[in-house]
Formats: sequence, structure tokens, C-alpha cells
Amino acid sequence: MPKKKKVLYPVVFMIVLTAFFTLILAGINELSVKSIDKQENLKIQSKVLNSLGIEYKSDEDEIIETYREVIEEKEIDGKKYFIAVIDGSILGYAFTVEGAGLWGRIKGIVALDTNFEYIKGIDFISHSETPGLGGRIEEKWFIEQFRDIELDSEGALLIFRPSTGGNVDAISGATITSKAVLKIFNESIDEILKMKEEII
Amino acid sequence: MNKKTKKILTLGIWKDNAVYRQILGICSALAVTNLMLNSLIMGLGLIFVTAFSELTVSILRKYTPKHIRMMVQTLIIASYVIIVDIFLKASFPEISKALGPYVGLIITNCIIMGRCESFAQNNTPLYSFIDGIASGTGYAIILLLIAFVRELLGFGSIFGINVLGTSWVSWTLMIMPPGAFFMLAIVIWISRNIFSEEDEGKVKA
Repeated sequence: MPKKKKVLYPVVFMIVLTAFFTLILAGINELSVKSIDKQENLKIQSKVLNSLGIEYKSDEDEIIETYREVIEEKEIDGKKYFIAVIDGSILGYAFTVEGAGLWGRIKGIVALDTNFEYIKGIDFISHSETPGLGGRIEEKWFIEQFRDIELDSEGALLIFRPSTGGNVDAISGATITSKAVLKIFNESIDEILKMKEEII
Repeated sequence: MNKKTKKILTLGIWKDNAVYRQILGICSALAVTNLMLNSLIMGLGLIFVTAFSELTVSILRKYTPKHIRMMVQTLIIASYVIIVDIFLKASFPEISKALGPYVGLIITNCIIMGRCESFAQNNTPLYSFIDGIASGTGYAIILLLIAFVRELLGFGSIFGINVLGTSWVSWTLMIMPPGAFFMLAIVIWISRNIFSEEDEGKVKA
């Protein structure tokens, strides 16, 4: 008899304990899933607005409100893009871009003007570059230098200074990340320009 | 504060510090110490998880069959870690992102398992809880200490506030992984000198 008990008891004990903890975690998850979603959306929304150069207040609800008023989400070839409309006229288009960085994938956003003639701005959604080095691509000075860069007929041409025709500065100490960022944006903009007819 | 509480606290925070005496929790000590804020959150997370895991293990210790106790401990630890993870994602998304996988990896932090197994299994819930706080605090203090030096030399700032001015040339090495190895080694080296050879013998015995 005691032997039988030894097999049954641990099994029952474990099942009860697992059920108990799973229930608690499921409850907590259920309670917070909305706010996690909201936070993640909020991040993308504020970056889309920023890349398009639309001003917004840092207040959470204001961002959601502005985004809802101005941005229209659309899809092309299964890829999402964003149209900014203010007072009935189109302000610009924003596209998500993605590519390999130094340690992992870099995801960002690039915004173009209505005729796809120049870059309105960029921003980064996620990356895993070295903090303090490649991670500085998130800093304002780096992002702001991509404002109003003209595209020529060949497509996007972002070049680092001091090369001829250079239009942005690289980050010293983060050569690979800097190069990767430029490559991602140049290639993505080329792709976007190919779809120009369908979008405008 | 009675004698036992005092003993638990001094052992956990100072004499038997998990990081420099037991060399536990090293992976995360190396990984998240490039910014003080990250270290602080990681430390608080670990204090929470260790304290409540030890409390729960201790409450259940008389009902837990000996041969499945590891399984039970892992389950308990994992539950608390997931709670911390969800909480950070919902309330501090930026920090959650910065800490990346290391919050989830608290589950495998040897400090918690070690304390659950060696202390909570044999002590009352209250003392186990205190022991969890002590060990967690010991870990957090060392992390903050390492992060203080790394952030100060690497960024010229403390908790993101610039203190060394713009003329400071950042030591890039300090924020890269090698900086963590150097700092941790220095901390362990100093602690080896503070605790004499004689002490060492006692601890081993």
C-alpha cells in the first residue's frame, strides 16, 4: 500500500501545483495583455508620426488620437505601409524597412514625400546593436540628419560624409552598424520606388 | 531584529555574497551591467523572485515529496519570473526591451535555485523570505557597483545623468562585454583579499 501511495502522491501534487500556478499566470497575463499591446502599438505609432515629421505630444492618449486622425494603414504585396493625410491632402508615405545589423535585425521606418522625390525622415522600431556604440542610431541627432534628403532618378542615395555627395554622418566606433543602416535604407527605398506606380 | 535575521542578512549581503563569494549569477552580472538603471531593475527583479520563491518553497517543503522537489522549485521560480516579465512589459516597455532575454533567464539564475535548495528546504517561511531578500540584495549591490564604474567610465554618466561633462572621452571598452569581465574580476579579486585565507578554509569546511 505505501508504495502505491508514493507514486500517486507526487503526480497529484505536481498536477495540482502546476494547475494552480498556470491559473495565476493566465490571470495575470489576461489582465495585462491589453496594456502590453497598447505599449507596443504606441511605440510603432509614435515612430511613424516622427518619421513623417508630424508633431505629437508625448502623452499616450494624444499619440493614439493624432495617429488615428492622420494615419491611414494600407497594404501592398502583404507589406504594410502608412499614408499621412492632413486636411484632405496627402502629406507623405511611410514604409517599414528591415535588414541585418551587427548583432541582429534592425527594423525601421522610412517616410517619403508625396511624389517620392525626397526622404521626409526615418526612425528605428527595434534593433540589438551595441549599447553606446551602434545603439546610438536611436539618438535624435542621427535620425534627424535623414530629414529632407533628395532622391535622384537612380533611387535612394544615402552616402556617408566625407565621400563626394555624402549626406549623412556615420557613427564613429560603429562602422558596421552605420554601414548596415545605410544599406537597409538604400535597398528598401529602391524596392519602394519600384512600387511607386501602384501606390501613388 | 533578532540574531538569526541579522546573521541571514550579513551572510547574504556580505560574507556569503552570491556573486563574489559563491560566483553565482555571473552571466547576468556580466550582461546587464552597462547601465545602472538596467542593473537596478534586474536587481529588484531578482530580489522579488528569490524572496517569493524561497517563501513558497518553504511553505510547501513539508508536503513536497523529496524526489520531485527540483521540479517543484523550477515551477515556482518560473512562475514568479514570468510575473516579473509581464509586469515589465506592461509598465516599463523600454527597460524590458533593454534587458532583453535576461529577465526570462532569471529562471536559470543559480542564486535562486541554490538558495531554494540549500536554505528554503530546511527553514521556516519567514526566514526563507528574509534570506531571499538578503541574497537578492547582495546580488543587486554588486551589479550596481559594477554598473556604476562601467557607466561612469563608458558613458560619463550615472543613471543616465551626465556627470563627467562633454570633455570626457568615453572608454568604449567598459560598455562592451570585456569591460564586464575586467570589472567582475576586480571585484572578486578585492573580495578575496578582504576575506583572508583563514576564512576561506572555514567556509570550505
